[in-house]
Amino acid sequence: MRTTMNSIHQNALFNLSRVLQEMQQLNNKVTSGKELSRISDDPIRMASSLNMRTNLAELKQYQRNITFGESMVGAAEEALTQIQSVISDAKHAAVQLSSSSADPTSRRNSATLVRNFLEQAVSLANSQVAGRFLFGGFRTSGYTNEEPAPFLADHVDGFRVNAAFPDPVSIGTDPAPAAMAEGDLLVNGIGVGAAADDGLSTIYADASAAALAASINAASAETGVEAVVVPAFQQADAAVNAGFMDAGDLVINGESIFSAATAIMANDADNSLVNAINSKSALTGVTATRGEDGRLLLSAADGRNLHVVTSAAGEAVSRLNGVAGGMVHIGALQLFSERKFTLESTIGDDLAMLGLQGGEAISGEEGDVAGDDVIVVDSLVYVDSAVRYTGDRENNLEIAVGRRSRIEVAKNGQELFVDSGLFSTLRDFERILLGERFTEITGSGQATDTAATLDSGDTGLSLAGIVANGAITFTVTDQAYRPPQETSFSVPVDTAVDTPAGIAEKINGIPGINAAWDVDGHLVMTSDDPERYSFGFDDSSNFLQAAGVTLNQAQSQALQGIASELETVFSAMTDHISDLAAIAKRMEVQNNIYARLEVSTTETISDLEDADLAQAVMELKAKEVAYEAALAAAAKTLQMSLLNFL
Amino acid sequence: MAGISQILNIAKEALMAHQLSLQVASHNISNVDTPGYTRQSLKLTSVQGAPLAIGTIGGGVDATQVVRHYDQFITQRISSQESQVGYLEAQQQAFRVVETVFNEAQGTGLNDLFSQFWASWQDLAANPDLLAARQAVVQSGEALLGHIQYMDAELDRISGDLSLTLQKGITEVNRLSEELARINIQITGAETTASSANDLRDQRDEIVRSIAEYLGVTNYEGKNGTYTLLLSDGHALVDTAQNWELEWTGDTMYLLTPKADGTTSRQELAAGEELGGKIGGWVSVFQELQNDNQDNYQGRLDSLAASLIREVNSLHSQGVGLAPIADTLTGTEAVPAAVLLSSTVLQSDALQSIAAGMLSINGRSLGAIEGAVAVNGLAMTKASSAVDAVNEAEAGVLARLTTLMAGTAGTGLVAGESVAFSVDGVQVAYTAAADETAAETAANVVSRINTAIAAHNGDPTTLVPLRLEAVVGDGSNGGAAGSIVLRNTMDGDPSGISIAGIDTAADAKLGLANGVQTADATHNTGEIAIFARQAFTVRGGTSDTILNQLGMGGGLHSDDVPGDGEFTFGAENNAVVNGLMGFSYADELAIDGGSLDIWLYNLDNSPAMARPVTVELTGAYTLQDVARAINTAVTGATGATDPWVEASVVQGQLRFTSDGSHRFAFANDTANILQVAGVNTFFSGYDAGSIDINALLSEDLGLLAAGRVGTGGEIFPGDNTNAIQIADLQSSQVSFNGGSTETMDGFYNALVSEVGAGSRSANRDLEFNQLLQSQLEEIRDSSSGVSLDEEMANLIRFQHAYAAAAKLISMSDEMLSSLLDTI
Repeated sequence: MRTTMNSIHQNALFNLSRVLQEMQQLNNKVTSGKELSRISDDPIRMASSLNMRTNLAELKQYQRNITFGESMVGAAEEALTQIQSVISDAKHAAVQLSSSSADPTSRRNSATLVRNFLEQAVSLANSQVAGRFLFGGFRTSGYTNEEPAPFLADHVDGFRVNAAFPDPVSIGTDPAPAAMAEGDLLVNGIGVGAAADDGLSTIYADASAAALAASINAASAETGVEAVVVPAFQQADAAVNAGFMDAGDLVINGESIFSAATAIMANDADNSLVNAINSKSALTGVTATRGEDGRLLLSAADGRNLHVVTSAAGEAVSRLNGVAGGMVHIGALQLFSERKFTLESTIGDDLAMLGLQGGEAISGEEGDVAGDDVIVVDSLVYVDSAVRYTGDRENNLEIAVGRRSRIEVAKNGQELFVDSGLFSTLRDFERILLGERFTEITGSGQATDTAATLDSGDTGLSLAGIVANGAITFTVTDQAYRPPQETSFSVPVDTAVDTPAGIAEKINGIPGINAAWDVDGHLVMTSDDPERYSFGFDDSSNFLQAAGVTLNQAQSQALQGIASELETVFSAMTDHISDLAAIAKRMEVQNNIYARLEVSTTETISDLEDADLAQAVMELKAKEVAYEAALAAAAKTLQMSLLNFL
Repeated sequence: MAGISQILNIAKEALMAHQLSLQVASHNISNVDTPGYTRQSLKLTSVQGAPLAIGTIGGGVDATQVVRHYDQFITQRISSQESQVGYLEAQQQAFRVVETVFNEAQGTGLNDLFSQFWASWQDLAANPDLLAARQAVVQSGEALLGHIQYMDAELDRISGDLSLTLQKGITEVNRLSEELARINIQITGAETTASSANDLRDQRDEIVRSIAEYLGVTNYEGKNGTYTLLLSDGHALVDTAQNWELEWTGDTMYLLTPKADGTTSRQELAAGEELGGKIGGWVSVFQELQNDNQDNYQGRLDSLAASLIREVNSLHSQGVGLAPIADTLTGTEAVPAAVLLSSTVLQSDALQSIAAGMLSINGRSLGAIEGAVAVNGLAMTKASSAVDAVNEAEAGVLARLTTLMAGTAGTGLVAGESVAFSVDGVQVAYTAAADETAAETAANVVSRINTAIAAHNGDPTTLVPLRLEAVVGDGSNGGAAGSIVLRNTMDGDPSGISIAGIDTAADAKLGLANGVQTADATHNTGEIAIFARQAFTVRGGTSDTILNQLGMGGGLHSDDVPGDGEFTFGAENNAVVNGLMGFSYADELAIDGGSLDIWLYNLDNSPAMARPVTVELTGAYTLQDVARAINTAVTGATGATDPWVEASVVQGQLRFTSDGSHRFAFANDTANILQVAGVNTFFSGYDAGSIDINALLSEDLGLLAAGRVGTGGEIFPGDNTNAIQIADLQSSQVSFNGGSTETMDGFYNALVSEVGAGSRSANRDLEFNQLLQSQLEEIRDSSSGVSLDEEMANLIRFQHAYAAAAKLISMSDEMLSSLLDTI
């Protein structure tokens, strides 16, 4: 093949420039220290390197998240541990104060101590990290002057409104109360279903408090508003007159109280009327009592209607209805929700169906205008020593610790403190020390025959002798109101007539209190609803003392209860603390994994991206030699020409 | 003649011939470096001598021809190799520049900014109440979008530069082809005397080679030695003395043909890499950078931006910031008008299918449209198939059907019989006064339905008016004769039509049945409604035959040339003012059955109502409908005469304005109206060029929606629900234009590695082809190249031959002298 000078020249140039290009690439590697200076250098390697970089950035982010989480968990653990020590102190105090060496006076003096425990607990529950509340759920900040922190002492938790008792319905004169139809009432804009028969009432069963409450509660999952019934009651206007009662003279909830003519004494001094009504309690769902002044008081056991029919004779004696005839008393409702809520009437009755008509005067809600068919329940209710939770009740703060993997780093206060009963127990503790508002008392005295009259000496009560004629005055406090409503009822004691069981029944007839002798012969008095009703007592007859119910006794018992409740709260806190420890452990493990991953990912990226300097330099050296050789060869070849020899 | 004079004569001829050889050799030597030069040599032949008795004595030498050492095959191979190298060279150059835009090698590119962006959301999730964390999110968002915009602008700039380069290349090709035509004539002229115009031919080959560098061409030689040059698609660029010019208009290549009347006709050339040469190489990269193609680099960058905007906004718009919105909130997206082309599919051609690829919209080819039997005069199934085909082509337009619901022919009511039912919740009742035929009943009930709808629409408490009408079926309007036909009145409104309450025998006589029908293959008006943001072009072959089938044939509007198989339809032809379908993200809308919750707050940020106002948006067609529905729902819920928060439409944007004593927040936007209208969104825009941060966020960081409104309307500053979800997008599979599903990082990384791979393969191929070319050159040079050594040797040879010939003369001279001396 002919080879021309031009070919040799071209070839030499082509090869030299290739070597030069390679040298430039190597030079790039050496000077930048990177294997890749352009994405085209190695697109596959580039792609995996990009993925690795994304991974690395994620890993670093997760580690940052975990560091943040660890600070939150650490702070929460610290706060909970301190709260635990407050609980532990409180428990010791409760045990100490429940001992017989303490007396009501010393206990009253200790109330401030408990108040301090409560305040300490509240302030710990309001712990902050970097200006953010730990136990407020998502409400870590953004508190108002009205609600400055997640936990607010001396306010009722949640929102509530109390309806008035509907006017009694006089049968034959007043129209029948209308049952609520579907959509008549909107709670938070959500229509409430029609009220159906409550299965309890003997009349107007679909217009009773129980029926209303049932349909409101049926929608509570959606509306977030629940209803509780305040049972209907009726107190006679005047004292019981002496006379005779016969079958049909007094019919309560469809049950005739008497089957034969029975003599009734003035003021029902021998309890025969009260006892007769109470003997039918199981059928009527109604209990009776009478006050010192001789007036009858009937109260329904639940949300059923209280239907009282008196004949002329029956009216003359019982004085229950004012005039002979039928009267229906309907219970009231209390509506509450954790959030502010709205009630609306769509039938233009200004919420008369709930007994909330008439605006602010009835509902107690500031700015509630009468006649506008709407109530917005949004006011804070003040109650001594209650604790209000204003934070987020639903969400716990989470952090991302991996793709789709989350860890809860802070629980909201609802679950931690409200549901665990921390504050309510401390509040009860304080109230017990103050000697008021009991919710449960069991007498220490033991009766063997509760049907014997008190002066018979057969009751078995060792102190029966100290009982004198007089009265026991109960003060029932309804905490649902602001200020709490206190109602006093006196139960007269006549040693010649009353039996221990009879007195218990009369106490039982007081709305809000249940009383009975248990099988062992102890008098047990409990509140209908411990959250709402509590009671105190004042006894001029010494009956309660004889039954073993003294302030000292009651307090001691209640404090033992408090001590065991605090124990439960304590162990709940322990659970939470160990949960936190587990979370902290998990984060630590995760963090270690990420730290190791970060190292290996960084290594991989370095493998992918960083130039192997030694190799690059060696290659460069080799290319240099090759280049020099190529130059020399080209120079030699090109130099030679026949021209030189002519 | 013989004797000494003959010797002299032979010597003279030899002197001349060797002198010529020397001349040829010096021509070779002097052209040793001339590109394209082909080595020449003088062909010598011996001259036939005169016959003598002793035999024939030769007559010396004769220079017959200057021969070119030319190899046709290798020259053509080199010329096509030149195209290949030119193509790759151009591609490599262009890729070098494109590559720098996507250069992630240094670790400071988009990938890193994406990581930072997601990380900032994670940090926000940890500290939703910290303004600094919010600031960081906005800033990292700005850095991210800044880089996306930069990349978009760079790609635009590169494509502009490439277009200019292309322009220059084409000017050069035009100049060369003209020269080629000229040289063709010169060669024909020069070669008439049977001699070959060697140097002209070399020049011509060099011109062909230069053209081949720019364009892939093939050439063949004609009978009289002229070249014909063909483009790769077979069009002639040069034929004998004629050449055709090329033209580049910024995105299309045309071949210009002068016509007899002095005008030129322009023929579009398939402008792609098949053009070959540098121009092919530039075009191949240029096409990757052109807008409106979701498969090229530019389009995929747009896809990435579009998906980023869509995904972040769809979550962000559902969330809430630190506090309710106090003042005015205006959507970032404007929809002044939605272009709407409504056409009726031709019933007579209902059975005819249109094959895939026959139609294109905005250059995107459509899949097959299946023909089917028309139902009661309407080509419903074909319309439905057409709508699917248009939507699947993703051509930047949205096609919709219009719902039609037809009953069956009834039996007619007898006197006194009543019917009562509801249409879309509107009660309709009718009692027959006398015995009626089915058609009479249908006509009467139809009028009752229309009256009831008119009354409903006139009611100020109606959220969204019903765009619905009833007609009596006649066998050509979708319903059988005597049936009742209900249809949406707005073109392209596929929302459901519901009938309820039909349960008595009398009701059944109407032929209507309970149920809901949304537009589908058997419940539509046989019409296609095509919505677009801007003008779009439909092409369907060279005549209107195919377009006619879809009712889009010639004369759609005054500017449309009938019979040319294409038309462009813009807002000036027909548009829906503020039509929802004109939004860039209109395909995200879920208006039918969709709703939006608006929470209202007092000035102290406490909920003014314990529940949100739920705005049902079913049936909304324009932005005004949405605004009206919101206002009606708000006033209806609050009972106040003036809405606490008022929605309005300002210059095509949805605006919420508070009354000064209330605030608001959004939740549960199942209709996606907020995301689509750019209300409460994080990004604004719709592609890589338009992406931006919602300007309101930069003004008020509190609007950054890290949380969601709680079930009771609570807005907690520590709520990180939304932030976590948005941060999760980093590892979420999201969909991209064109249908692929991937993580955003993955999508981008794939794009980067593809650009890298494109550049790399151009590099590799170029290296290989250059080697090949140099080898081909070597082969060519082995026959056609000038070797100086060889020429030197020849020179000596010729010189000696010349000297010998001279010696002959002197010898003859001596012989003559000695002869003459004897006389």
